[in-house]
Amino acid sequence: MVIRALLKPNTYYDSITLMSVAQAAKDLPGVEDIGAVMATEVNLELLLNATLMPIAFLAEQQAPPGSEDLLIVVRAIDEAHAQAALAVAEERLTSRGDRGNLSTGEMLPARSLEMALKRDEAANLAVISVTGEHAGLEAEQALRNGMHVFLFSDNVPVEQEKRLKALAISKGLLLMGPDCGTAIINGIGLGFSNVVSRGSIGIVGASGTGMQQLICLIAAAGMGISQAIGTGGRDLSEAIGGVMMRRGLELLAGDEQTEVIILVSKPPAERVAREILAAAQIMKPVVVVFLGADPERFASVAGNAHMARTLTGGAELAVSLAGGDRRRIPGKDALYKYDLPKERAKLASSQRYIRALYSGGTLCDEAMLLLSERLGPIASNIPLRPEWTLAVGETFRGHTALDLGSDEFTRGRPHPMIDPTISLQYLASAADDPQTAVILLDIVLGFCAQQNPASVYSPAIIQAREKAKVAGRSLPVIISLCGTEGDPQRLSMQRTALEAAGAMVYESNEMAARAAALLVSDSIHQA
Amino acid sequence: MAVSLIVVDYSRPTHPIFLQEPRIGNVHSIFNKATNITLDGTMLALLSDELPRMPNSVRLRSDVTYKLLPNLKPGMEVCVGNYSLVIPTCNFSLQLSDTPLWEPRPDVNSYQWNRETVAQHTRMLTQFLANKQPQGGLTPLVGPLFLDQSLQETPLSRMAMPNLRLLAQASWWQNLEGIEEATRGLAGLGPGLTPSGDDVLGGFAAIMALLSTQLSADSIPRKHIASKIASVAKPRTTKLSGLLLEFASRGEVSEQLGTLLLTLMLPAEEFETVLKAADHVLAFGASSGGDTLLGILLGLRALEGKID
Amino acid sequence: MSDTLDPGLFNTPLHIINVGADLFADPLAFQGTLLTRVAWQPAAGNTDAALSLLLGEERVDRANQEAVQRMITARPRLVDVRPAHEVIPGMHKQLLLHAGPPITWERMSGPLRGAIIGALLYEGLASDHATAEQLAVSGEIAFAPCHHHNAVGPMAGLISASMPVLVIEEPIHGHQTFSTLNEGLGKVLRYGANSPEVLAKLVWIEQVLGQALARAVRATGGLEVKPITAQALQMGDELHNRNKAATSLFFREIAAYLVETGNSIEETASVLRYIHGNDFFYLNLSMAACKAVTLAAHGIPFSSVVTTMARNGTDFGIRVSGLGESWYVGPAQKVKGLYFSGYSEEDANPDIGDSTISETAGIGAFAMATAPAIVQFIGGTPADALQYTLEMYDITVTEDSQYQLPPLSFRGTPIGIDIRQVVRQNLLPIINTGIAHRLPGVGQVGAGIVRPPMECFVAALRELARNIQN
Repeated sequence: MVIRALLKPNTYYDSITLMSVAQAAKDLPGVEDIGAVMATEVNLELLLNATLMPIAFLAEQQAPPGSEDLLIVVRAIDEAHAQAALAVAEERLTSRGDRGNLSTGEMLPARSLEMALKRDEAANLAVISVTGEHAGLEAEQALRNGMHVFLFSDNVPVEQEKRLKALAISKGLLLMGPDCGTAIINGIGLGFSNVVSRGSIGIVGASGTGMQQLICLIAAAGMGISQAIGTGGRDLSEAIGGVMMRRGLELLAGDEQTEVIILVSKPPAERVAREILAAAQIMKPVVVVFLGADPERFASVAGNAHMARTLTGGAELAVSLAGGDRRRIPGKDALYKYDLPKERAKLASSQRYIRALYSGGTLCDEAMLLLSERLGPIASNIPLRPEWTLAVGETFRGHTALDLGSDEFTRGRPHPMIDPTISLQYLASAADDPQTAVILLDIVLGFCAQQNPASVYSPAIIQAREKAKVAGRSLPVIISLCGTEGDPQRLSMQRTALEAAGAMVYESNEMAARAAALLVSDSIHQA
Repeated sequence: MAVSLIVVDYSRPTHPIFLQEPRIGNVHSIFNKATNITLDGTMLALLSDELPRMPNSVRLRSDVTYKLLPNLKPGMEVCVGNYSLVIPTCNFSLQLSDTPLWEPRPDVNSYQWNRETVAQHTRMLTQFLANKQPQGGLTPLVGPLFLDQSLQETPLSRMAMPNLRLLAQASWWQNLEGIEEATRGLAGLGPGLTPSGDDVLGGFAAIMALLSTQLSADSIPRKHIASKIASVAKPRTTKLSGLLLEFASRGEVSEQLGTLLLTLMLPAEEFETVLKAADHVLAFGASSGGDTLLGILLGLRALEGKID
Repeated sequence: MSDTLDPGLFNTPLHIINVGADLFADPLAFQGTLLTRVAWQPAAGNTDAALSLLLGEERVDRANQEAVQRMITARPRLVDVRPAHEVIPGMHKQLLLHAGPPITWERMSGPLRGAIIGALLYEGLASDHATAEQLAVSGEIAFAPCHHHNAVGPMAGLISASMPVLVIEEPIHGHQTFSTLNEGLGKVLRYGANSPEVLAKLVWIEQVLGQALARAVRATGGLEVKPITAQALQMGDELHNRNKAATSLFFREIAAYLVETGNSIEETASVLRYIHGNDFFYLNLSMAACKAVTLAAHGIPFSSVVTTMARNGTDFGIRVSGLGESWYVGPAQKVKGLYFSGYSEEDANPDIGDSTISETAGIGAFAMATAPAIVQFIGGTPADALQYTLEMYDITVTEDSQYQLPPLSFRGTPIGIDIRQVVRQNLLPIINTGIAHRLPGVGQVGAGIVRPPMECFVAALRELARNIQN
């Protein structure tokens, strides 16, 4: 589905003409709805209510359209149909059929990036998600042609990444990726992204779900994002040296809209971390979240930078620094919004372990960090320590946290953020295990993610809890729900449905992990 | 093509514009039988004499209109003043010297008004409008508003419905904040050069301006409500629409609307004359007439104090 | 702060190109960005590394611009009609020129063999089929591609020493190119027929048609070819499978000169009737002109523009401007098309002839959009014809505004096939062609469209990448 618009400044038609034009265009195949109105305030609201708001189109107008400007908006199944409908509408309005079918040339799909550039010479950003072995050429061609790149593809050799990033830097371009999950540029979400208003907080991140968590918590505080620049997960490795994070930092430092900057990454290479921190000594406040890195270790070089240990902590800091109210973030105060002691009391003596099922790698990391501090070893496929690695064929071992989005689970099937089948399987087996005390799982909302996760998780949760109940167990399910009210799935709707299924829903992954820990740490004492 | 003595009539509020020293305006919009001209923040409508008179209209002989309009382009310079209007690019000029003036404010004060019969006409008109099964604009809301019919939910109706109710209630209770809020929600709403929301506001404001003294159940005049509506709406809608609302708030309305309002003082038995006049109003625009009538009805109901 | 900092991105509306899954494109479209989707597929032949090298080379881009500029500025003129041995460099009695890349007798297909036997008989080098075949195998007769002698011939493309050839002169780049005179339809040498009546017609062409045309052409002082082609393109010809309009235009140009220089009324009338009766008469002239155009673009170091596409009935070969005289070959393909009644794909010989020089020069199937009259040959609609031409814009360097296509709002024809984009997009040039019967002498059995084998382009691309690296 696409929304396309046409603006005709100072253009006036009576409503009969506009309605008949709209009707003619609406009757075209592939057209879902169309609006032709003067761009008054309430008409814009009307368009919004009719899912006809051309947000990006309006954002790029030099001046916002006003009541003397005619705005024609069409919602159609795809670009071609939308453009066709706008063309018909425009032709009807001008009622002179003197335009040739020049556009026939544009209707052929482009088969290479270069040909796409011929179709739109102003293209400035390439979103690339082809398989890793071919991603290099596409990214290289985009950079050579002066385009910024959002590179979702993974399995790009590190040498190639290094070379491409050098090319990007030499041309003053951003190469977000490889393996970049999310970004928000000029208010447009790329990849897996949440809908958030534009604001004063800028993010540079080497972690997709880490950035998503920050963005959602900032949105919860009513604040907005200026830009969110992904760098790809390997950017802060020794080999790459954090070039994109530094470039992103530079860009945000120079960006007027950005007042506070957050840098987020899984543990970076020591040398790189120091370089990044050195680069972060700028006039604007910079919040740094190096997950898993002991802030003490960098205390000597942190300088002006504000170090935070968790994503929630980082979001709270940034919101405060940007003049917002950190208490609006559902952080510590929200921890006891459910009656955790009561839940704990209901557990059977066999129920001793947390079973965490994550689709977001960074969220899983953060949970493991918090849990291991409180509970000791956490078995995992992406363990914090090598000796905590799950053996082949082992599903759970004691406290266990799985990153179901990592290669060994996603080979040959969609990522669990897109298709939850794998998560549901593990949810069922965790529920069947009498040692399971609590199931902790994440659900990530936003563009590209599954359309209505609650509709599949809720029945699964109800069933799992019922089954446990029959076996004489109470089975608390804690959900780390990462999303915003503006997301297509709607945060509040998902939360309501999941809570109705008996789940405890936290928007802060940290609080979700802490709640899970509270449920079992005491049961261990009792045991 | 120097033409003179081609003006059939012009409306009284445009008179001061022609009295001034000549000044330059621009062609704003062009239609089949009409064109609008902007000038110093106001607007003149040059209409073919086939069209009804408007508060800001200068009507021309239809043959002249047909020759003129195809040559006009938006933005063309128009020179107005000293009883003449000249469009240099089209080599067009008109003189107003002996042309009759038309008064757009219906002479409501010369008649006796009876609240009972007006209320009966109002019921009749409501039913009449609902029976037309109107499409487009806000007119379809007549059933849900007054006849307890169910509301067909559309983005337009969802936005308009609460504000229509609020407009009527706030007017009865003379709650200016409520009026402002309702007006904000309706001004500029809907397609066209005079969006539906404005047409409703126009009809409503005209009632407040012209008949609130005679018809309100509490006998309190509500002319200030009309002014409030116009001043809140003006910056939120198209220039033309804002201007027409301003006229309406002074009781200056189109020829048909004026006629309809005057028929309301007829005895109840003469309802057919009322309906015929309503039909003429309805014939205006795609939904404009219906929307205006809806505003009229809403205003009349509000004056009865019977709005829930 | 770095001075290469890009202040622009945050202040510029995003125009996005999506390369890959629609999963990522759909939300972008939903958010209302300006989005162009690439219908992506991997490049042919696992050539990412070579492509990376060549697409990033300014030398290639510059050379290609030069190549297409030369094609566009070339001014082929028909100046004479002369026996082949008098004008074609290196031509002699024991040399037979044929269509396509080099090939030995053993690998030749039926129509080519039939044409060679016919030519040997016509030249009087053999008295019957058996001796002609012995001679062909013996090694006493040399075979060479027409292209090696700046000539082109349709189908079998056979040129022998005595045959009259059209002489095209290209004054700007200073070369001559050649083609035989078109024999018309039915049983003809170019389809491998070699019966007595075929040979008799060749003799008439040599002694009457060739000489009459020679006198007339000389009398004109030289005829510009491109203007005729340009007009014909606006009259529904694509100048490969349809030459009706062009032939008529040529007829108008030459008729008076033929009359003025004619030997007798009867002879002149027979020549005029012959041209009038052969809708393909202009094809050979057009081909020789196209050869003059593409030859002008050949031999520019690093250029990835194709300057030859040709088939001999067994192999399809291409040559590339920046790769010298090397041929890059793959198996000739079966033609998809419409067969005359009584024939089917089983009867068809693989693709044959030099007439693909038309597409190489940007007309023929590349100009299909303008020739809706012949789309039925390919079982298509006029919309398909538009699609074919539109596709070709994506694998060519530029547009030739001398040749305008009315259905595309007078857009120029796509010209200068770039092997990089052919391989990258996995999109092969499209070719209009006649279909020869696989047995010698049966003739044309249909017409249709064909695409070259991809391996020619992949091999040439790899070679060019190697050259660039060294």
